[in-house]
Amino acid sequence: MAKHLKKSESHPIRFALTLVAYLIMLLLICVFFDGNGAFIYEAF
Amino acid sequence: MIKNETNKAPKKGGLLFLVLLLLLFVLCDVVLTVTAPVAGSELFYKNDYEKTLAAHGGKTEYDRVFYGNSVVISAFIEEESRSGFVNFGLDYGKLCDLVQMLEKGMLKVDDELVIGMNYFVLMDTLDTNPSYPWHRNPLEPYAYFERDRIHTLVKTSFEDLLNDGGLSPEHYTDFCKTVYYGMMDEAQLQEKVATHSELFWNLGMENYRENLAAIAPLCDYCEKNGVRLRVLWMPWSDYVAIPENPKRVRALADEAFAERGIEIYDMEGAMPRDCFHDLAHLNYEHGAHVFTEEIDKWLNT
Amino acid sequence: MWYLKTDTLLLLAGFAIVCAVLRKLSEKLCKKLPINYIFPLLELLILGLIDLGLLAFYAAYMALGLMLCRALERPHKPIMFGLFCLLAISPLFVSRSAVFGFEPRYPAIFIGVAFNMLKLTDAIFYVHYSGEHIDALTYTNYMLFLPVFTSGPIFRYRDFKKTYSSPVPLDSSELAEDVKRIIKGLFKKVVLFELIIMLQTRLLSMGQHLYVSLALTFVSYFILYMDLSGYSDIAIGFGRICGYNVPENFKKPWLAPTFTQFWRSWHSSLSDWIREHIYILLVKKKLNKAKSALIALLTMVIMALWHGFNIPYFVVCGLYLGGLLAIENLLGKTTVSKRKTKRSVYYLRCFAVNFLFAVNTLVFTLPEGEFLNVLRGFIRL
Repeated sequence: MAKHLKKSESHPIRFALTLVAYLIMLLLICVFFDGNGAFIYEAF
Repeated sequence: MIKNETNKAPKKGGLLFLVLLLLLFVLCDVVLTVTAPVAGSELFYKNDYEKTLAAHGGKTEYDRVFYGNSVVISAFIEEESRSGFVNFGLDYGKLCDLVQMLEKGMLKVDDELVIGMNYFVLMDTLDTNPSYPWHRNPLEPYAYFERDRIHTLVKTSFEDLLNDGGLSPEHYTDFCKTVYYGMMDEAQLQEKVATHSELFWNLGMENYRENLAAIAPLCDYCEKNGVRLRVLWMPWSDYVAIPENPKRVRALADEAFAERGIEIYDMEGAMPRDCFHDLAHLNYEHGAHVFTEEIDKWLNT
Repeated sequence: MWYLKTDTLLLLAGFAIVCAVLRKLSEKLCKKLPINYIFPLLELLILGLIDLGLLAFYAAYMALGLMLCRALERPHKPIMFGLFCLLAISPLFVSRSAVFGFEPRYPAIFIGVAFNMLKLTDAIFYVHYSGEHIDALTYTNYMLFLPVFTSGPIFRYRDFKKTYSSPVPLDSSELAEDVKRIIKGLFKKVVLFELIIMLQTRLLSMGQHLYVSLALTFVSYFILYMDLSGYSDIAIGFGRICGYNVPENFKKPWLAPTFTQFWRSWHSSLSDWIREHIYILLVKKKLNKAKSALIALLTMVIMALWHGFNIPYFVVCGLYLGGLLAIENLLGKTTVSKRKTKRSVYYLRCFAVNFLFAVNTLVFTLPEGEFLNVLRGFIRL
């Protein structure tokens, strides 16, 4: 869909999608944080 | 040479992006906090605080509350009691938890408050259930605070997708708190004694400081709100004598309550061994009935 | 790993924000703030908050390192240089003394030692080979730089010095990119990593078949990629907020058509470090194919041992990958140009290189005892 829009018109949409994507990532990070998936190895 | 993104033209809208991301995140957090989906939905397992509220139509205000830990849960049968007290026993419930609930408005007691005491109720170092809502720091995002339960749902859903290709999340509809049935045999009791003596019975008084200090604000709350506060020392099995350190804790607690003129009722040695599941928990099929009947007389005074 | 614990992540985030604010204030004020003194003090404070033993160890290690560098600035015998390098890397052996049958008494103080001993060794190399004076303040900031303290990417002294003297200018777009990078890194390291581990668990339950072993190989590659590139992203993001241009570690390694090119794009800060230090040590005359092959093999073996003193690492990571790299050098096929190669051949080479590397990752990602099962699966349809 974005291909059919001019670059200037797609920019706010891309901006909004990026914003939502990072928001979802942040929320999932909060959910998965602390106590999950330890390191495979620890280089001490 | 270090190559990095510095060579690219600066992207516009950086500040706007950051501000909007922060605002959206905060907005999400507020919405989640207000709607409290984890506490309200059947998709997540409930803690004892949520179970108690769910069993009473979600209300947080009660006339008469009988508070304690798992010992109270398994001893007092609210439905059989004619005292009108609500069983507000919470797994790992401590005195500090009660004070926080009262101070944060998560529990309101109008008339009477009875605390079912044993040394665990006063033990600072005892584990707590981290999902109790009063543990949440004001700056802690809701998704982070409830991560254990949300993570369980996400993980099991993803596993279902991988295994069956479909989603069939578990629904937690049972709001009954954990009670205990039967009696432990000799070997099990010996193991219990060994575990408890190793983990708990050598703990000095410094491990009880915070909860002992919570007695004063608790009494202040009750005085300020016209709540009658009473203390009940819960039954203890005669299989083993109460150890030295727990005895000292009890003495300190009794002294603090006595200073504030709080009535104390001692049922530590009141129950026969066949009422117990282990050293402190009563068995629900027999001991709890006996206890409830016995305690009703005192609760109604 | 500090980025995976809430308290240390918040400490590091707070540190980065304070650094950024101080830099900005310093720009705005007529008189520059002594931020190059303030930063190391803050870093020492944070180390102390995390563990007092850690603070004491690194303060002493740093001081000793500076003394060694100062000593090398004067005319000295080559053996001194060798001894000083051994001294610099000795804490790594102490931290791994369990392998030799001795448990280190205070293991917590050795957090990050594998990375920090590389930094000190690099500083020693720098002084010995360049003859230049090491500024104490630059050196202190270099050794204590927190975003890469426990995990890399590995900073070379000369690269740190460059970015130290001309910091990354922090405007809103840079800050936004850095925050995005940190979020992406945490997402890879915390979320995607765990989800892919669950996929691996599911595949392991499907028995020994070719398609399962193939899938596990790819999954294993991505487990390692999410883990390592995730923390690199977080470190680079925080490092840039502090004003430092931290070296990239991962540069689209799946597009590398040879192992030589692969190791310049997968955990490149480490492989570059090892290769260049061996190169300086061993190569006095012109490099021929045999010497290149030897350096390649040695690089991989040392890299394997750096990760851990054990047979699987040594054999699989060291000899296997080192062997592949050495063969490439002997055949003179270390670099393939995308423009000069047929497209299908180019991508086939990329696939082959990454697949052969991915087989190696199975040693690190599979639960114990599963590696041979997966290898057996390759010969079962």
